[in-house]
Amino acid sequence: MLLDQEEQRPRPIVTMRNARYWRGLKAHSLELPQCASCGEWVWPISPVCPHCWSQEMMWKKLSGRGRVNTWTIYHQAFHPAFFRSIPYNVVEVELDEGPRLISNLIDLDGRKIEHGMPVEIAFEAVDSELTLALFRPADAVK
Amino acid sequence: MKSQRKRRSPEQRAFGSSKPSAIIGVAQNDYSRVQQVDDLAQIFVALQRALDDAGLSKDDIDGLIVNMSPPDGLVDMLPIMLGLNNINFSMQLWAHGRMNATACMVAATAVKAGLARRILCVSALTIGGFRTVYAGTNVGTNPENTREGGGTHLESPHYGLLTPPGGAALATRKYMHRYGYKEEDLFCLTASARQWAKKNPNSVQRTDVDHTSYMSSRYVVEPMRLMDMAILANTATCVIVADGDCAADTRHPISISGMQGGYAGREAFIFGRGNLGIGYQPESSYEAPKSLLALDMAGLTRKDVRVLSILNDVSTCVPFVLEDLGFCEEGEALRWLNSGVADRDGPFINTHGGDLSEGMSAGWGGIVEAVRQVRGEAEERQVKNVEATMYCSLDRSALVLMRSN
Repeated sequence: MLLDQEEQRPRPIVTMRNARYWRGLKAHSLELPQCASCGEWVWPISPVCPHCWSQEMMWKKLSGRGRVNTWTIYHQAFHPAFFRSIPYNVVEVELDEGPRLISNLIDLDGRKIEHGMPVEIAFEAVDSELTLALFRPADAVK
Repeated sequence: MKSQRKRRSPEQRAFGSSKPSAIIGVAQNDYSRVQQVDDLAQIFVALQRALDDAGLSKDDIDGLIVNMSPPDGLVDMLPIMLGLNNINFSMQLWAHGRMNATACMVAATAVKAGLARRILCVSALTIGGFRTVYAGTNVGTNPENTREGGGTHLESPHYGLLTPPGGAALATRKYMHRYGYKEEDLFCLTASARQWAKKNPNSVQRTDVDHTSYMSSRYVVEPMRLMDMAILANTATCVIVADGDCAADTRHPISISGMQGGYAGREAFIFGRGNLGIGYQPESSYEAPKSLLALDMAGLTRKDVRVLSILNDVSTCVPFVLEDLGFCEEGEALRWLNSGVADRDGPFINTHGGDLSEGMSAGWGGIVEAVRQVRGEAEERQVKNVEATMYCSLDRSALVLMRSN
């Protein structure tokens, strides 16, 4: 529903700090850096753990499961790529491991979004370079 | 031969006045809704008026703080283009509402330290500028939208989370869910802003709004409606801050009696409240500081503040700031606002109509109003017995203003 626009949607800026994250999504793996010293997730991605100041990071795969923390429905397109999508949802998912991700919910089949709704990741390839981390209700028919 | 050291003139020697720094001149342009204006021309109008207000000429200005973005809002170009020829203290702040209290307190501190005598703080926003930054093909590459971890308001253009109200909607939904509010509870925020705006001749949105028209106003980012958004306008503001000695010679100086800087860190969310539980915040109970530095500095308590100006780019900034700064208990601000106590007994909030109805100035209109209310110059909307007013931005930064002795 979100990806069939004529106008290309804005793309994330891939940097030396976040390239690993986007490579992971392309390989259908949701990975974030975890501090090798204190075990906290380092999110947003940073070269240093803000909790213990260690610079040793391990990229770890996450379950891709979480719950809807909050959401909004856009009724106005602020970029031409979304003109044909409105109204469209933007959700913040709190992953079971703790970090929160901004995303879109797909496969709702007319259901209303609710606080705490269990969701799971749905990798959506935009093109050969970019895959986004979307989510769908955990009990949705795939 | 002994070199003769030149004696400083009394004016040059007066580094570090013992008196509090003061706001000596404030002015705005005529707010408008036309599509294209030259922001520098708007600033020029506000600047002439602010100088008149202070009883100064442009050559009296020796410091400049610019709270605007490129292309025009640059501290190196403004003096050249506006003919400000004596600037020896200059500073650039990114165009962001939460930086305007800070702009004024940096000016107050700089004049106190003797770095300048009279500092001009400038902001201008235009409808054309908004359309470029927040809508259209450029928004995907707007640097604020593309930084690591999302923009200030969690902007993530690739998922369609664009423009600051998107983040505000996420925060508002979370707040409503945590504290048991319905969409209709937001109506009072617009209603109050409009009631005040009707009494402000510079306000661009002065029509009445009732519950039905609010509830039928179209959604922009659910649960927030068009009426929950600041009304875009062409606005320019000039605020002149002077050291206490310079201020004493001006017509109506207002002391910056207290100030506190902005909080930055994991606990905050710009269009939310501390510990609300979105973005990188913890979700936990929130307890505001027992006392506020800005009020302590002024020797006041919250009860002494008769008029509160609160930056409200979106309607819910008001309850969030009231809770963040401890004017209301956690989760109670929207119920308190709905009770109507504020509009009846005070503290009176955004008596100019706020960004919501006066026009989008990213809070600068609130600073001007806080000055006018304490001077007793707010005409039809003047609150009685105002000894102190307070301007609050969104990061807990604040100014307390009182009449200079």
